[in-house]
Amino acid sequence: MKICVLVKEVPDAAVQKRIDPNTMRMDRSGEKNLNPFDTHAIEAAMQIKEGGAIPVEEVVAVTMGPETAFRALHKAVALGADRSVHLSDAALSGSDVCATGYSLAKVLEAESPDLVLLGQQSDDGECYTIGAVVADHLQMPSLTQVIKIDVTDGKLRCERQAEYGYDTVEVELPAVISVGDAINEPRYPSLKAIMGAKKKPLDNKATADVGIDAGMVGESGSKTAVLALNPPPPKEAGEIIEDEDTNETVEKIVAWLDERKLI
Amino acid sequence: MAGILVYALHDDEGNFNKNSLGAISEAAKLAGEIGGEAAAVVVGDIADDACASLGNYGAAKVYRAKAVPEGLAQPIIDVMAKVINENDFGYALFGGGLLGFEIGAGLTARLNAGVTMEVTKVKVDGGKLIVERPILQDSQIADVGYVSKPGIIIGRLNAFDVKESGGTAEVVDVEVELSAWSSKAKLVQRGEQRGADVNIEDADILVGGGRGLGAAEGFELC
Repeated sequence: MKICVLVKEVPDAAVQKRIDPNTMRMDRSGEKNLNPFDTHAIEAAMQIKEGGAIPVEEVVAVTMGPETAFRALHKAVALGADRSVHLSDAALSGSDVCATGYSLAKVLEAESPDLVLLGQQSDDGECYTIGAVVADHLQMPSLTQVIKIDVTDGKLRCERQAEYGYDTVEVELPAVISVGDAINEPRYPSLKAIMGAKKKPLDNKATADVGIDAGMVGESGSKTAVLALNPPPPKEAGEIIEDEDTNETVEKIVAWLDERKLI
Repeated sequence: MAGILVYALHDDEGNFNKNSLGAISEAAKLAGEIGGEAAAVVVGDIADDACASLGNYGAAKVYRAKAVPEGLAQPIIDVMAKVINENDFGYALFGGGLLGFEIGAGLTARLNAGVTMEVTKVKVDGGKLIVERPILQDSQIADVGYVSKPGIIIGRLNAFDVKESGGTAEVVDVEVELSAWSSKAKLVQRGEQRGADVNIEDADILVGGGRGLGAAEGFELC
């Protein structure tokens, strides 16, 4: 079995994220890191590999991003991936969710994985959608926000919390699964693994290498356009409720919360 | 057609999700402004009356795929893609939630369509829809438009208010051949309630613990 884990380089949590008003894209200068949600996907891959219920030949970390994104791949292999693939091409710059999902699917197609794992969201884009986009392109069954994976009889038995409670779903392989951050506690990489990460194979791919139609990616191939950026509406002044009659006060608080759809 | 198609999530017994009803109300309002109709998709063997009741929230038509199960996204992507293509809908709108995100994302790939998510407001400009999408931990609001049809809009939970307008929807049954990969995930159990038998109000002593305790055993008193 071959597992591919999709990872992303994102601005470090300590960096004040901003959009470049000229390009309407994320300003990616400053310190960057491996998307923290992806570490759960890598850990899930390692647990399947170490669990022994199904033999796993290799775990491959895959990313799409600018040149610097190789650092996210180094972190992914330090956490246990055997090798990594970096899709990078100027033509991809400015891709929206539709174009990004298509591009990642093309790289994955070239790898023919039995299982694709990814985190529930990226820390910068917060789109929650790439897994399902990739799955439809790959024509594989898919599930997101999975909090438990068991491998039995060559299939996955997954659990997740949905609108009406907990769902248990049996998924045939090959499949695309995005994991919630409650699925596991990611391990810390050992010093030896960090030092050895640079020695593990890293394949660089351009769009033409994986058969990406250049007309379907980048800003011109995207199906959405950011038209304007505005500050959020200013916070309203707080409301002070004097507690003269507690029952009445409770009613007022409940009504206030209800009005704002908070309960 | 500038119509807007909404996915109406339900609990298998014809009780529709509040966020889906809100999305139908929003779609009806927006469709009125851009010169189209709002319609809903319902999967599963849901009674005519229950489907027609979506007209009370503004749906002119309900497309029902009786043979398609509720609860997993990919069969519903098959249904919505077919209904959108055959009826030339301009937009698909979701009231958020897990399935809304999954179906919206799948439709993006299937129809090569633009998608926006966590949308808090939808505006009309020149007969087209522009969405407001909070970004960067809600520190900015991006106005996003679609450059082609259809546009997929996934709302944030509770973004759209439920509005009852009166009326009954026409129910149209649709037959859909599912994609091969849509039947490769099967719901073993849907909506299991966990922890419902534990009522903390009955406890004499409540102990709270963080992740540092590691596991349930970490709560054992020394």
